Amino acid sequence: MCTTCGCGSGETRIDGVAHDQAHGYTPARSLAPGLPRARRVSIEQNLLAKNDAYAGENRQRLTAARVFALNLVSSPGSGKTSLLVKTIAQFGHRFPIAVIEGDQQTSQDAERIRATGAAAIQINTGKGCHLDAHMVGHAVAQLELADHSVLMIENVGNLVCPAAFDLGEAHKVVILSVTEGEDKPIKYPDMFRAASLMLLNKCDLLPHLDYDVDAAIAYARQVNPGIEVIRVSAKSGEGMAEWLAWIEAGRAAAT
Amino acid sequence: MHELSLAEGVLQLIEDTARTQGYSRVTAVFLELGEHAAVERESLSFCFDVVTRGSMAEGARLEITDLPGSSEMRVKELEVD
Repeated sequence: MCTTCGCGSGETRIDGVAHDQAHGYTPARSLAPGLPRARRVSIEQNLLAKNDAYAGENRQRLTAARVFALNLVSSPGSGKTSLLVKTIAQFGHRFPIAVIEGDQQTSQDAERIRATGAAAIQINTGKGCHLDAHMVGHAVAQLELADHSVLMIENVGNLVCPAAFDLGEAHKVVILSVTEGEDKPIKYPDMFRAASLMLLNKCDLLPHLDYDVDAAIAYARQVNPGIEVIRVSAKSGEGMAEWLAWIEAGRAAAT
Repeated sequence: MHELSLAEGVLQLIEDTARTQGYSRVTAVFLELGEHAAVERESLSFCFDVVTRGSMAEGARLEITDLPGSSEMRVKELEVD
């Protein structure tokens, strides 16, 4: 452990150098032998257990109602809400779609969804950087989900924290837009590892960009060999049929 | 990021257990952290120091053991006075 500021041997690197090494690492000395042992109290509790318990309840409730729930995760600005609006416009007549929107502030996204006629609830996380299973449980209770419907949970735009929080969904779907870097999957591997599907969005812009689609997919498969990939464009409609087929397969499995 | 809320969770656990176990001061916390828990140990240690200020765990040592292949984050034991 770093004796200058107490930082440990984690994965933080500054210019590729571990922070404790940057200070000149001094190994901590072990306690002198023969000292009396302080009293120990056993705890044995998983800290994420509270969230996981709520997520379990959500999953049970959604499964019982045969609702196919997806947790949509991405960086801010990847086009999640536009993709949802397009998805509801194209497939809303095939099966009921309800949406839970997560943002730090404003209910603008929920209003955009409601304008399509679909049910939507906005969760504002305030200072929070992710949705948790407890918040989502309350939103699910308010939504009155139809049997055999699809629930889209649009998480807070953040490629880091939402990866760690199970909400009770069937799958995490990560959206990566082609205006972001191809190497996002290896820069934020936890998120791409947690996702079952990657939607490569804004593909209508590809002719105007130097984006290397194959490299982006290779990076995603480097951290998660099993990840499925669909190229889509909420604007042109490219890939929407494939996205629909993926949802339908998931719905069939859930019902 | 969420290391702060996890550190608050650790403190809450310490304070809840104090009621049943009858201690008033914690000098060390032993934690197991899975390599896939998506929690950065340095950030967690930093946040732990911040949230425990003025509490019964102020100045407590946070000892973290890595759990390879796991995504759990488990509070194992406390050293108390």
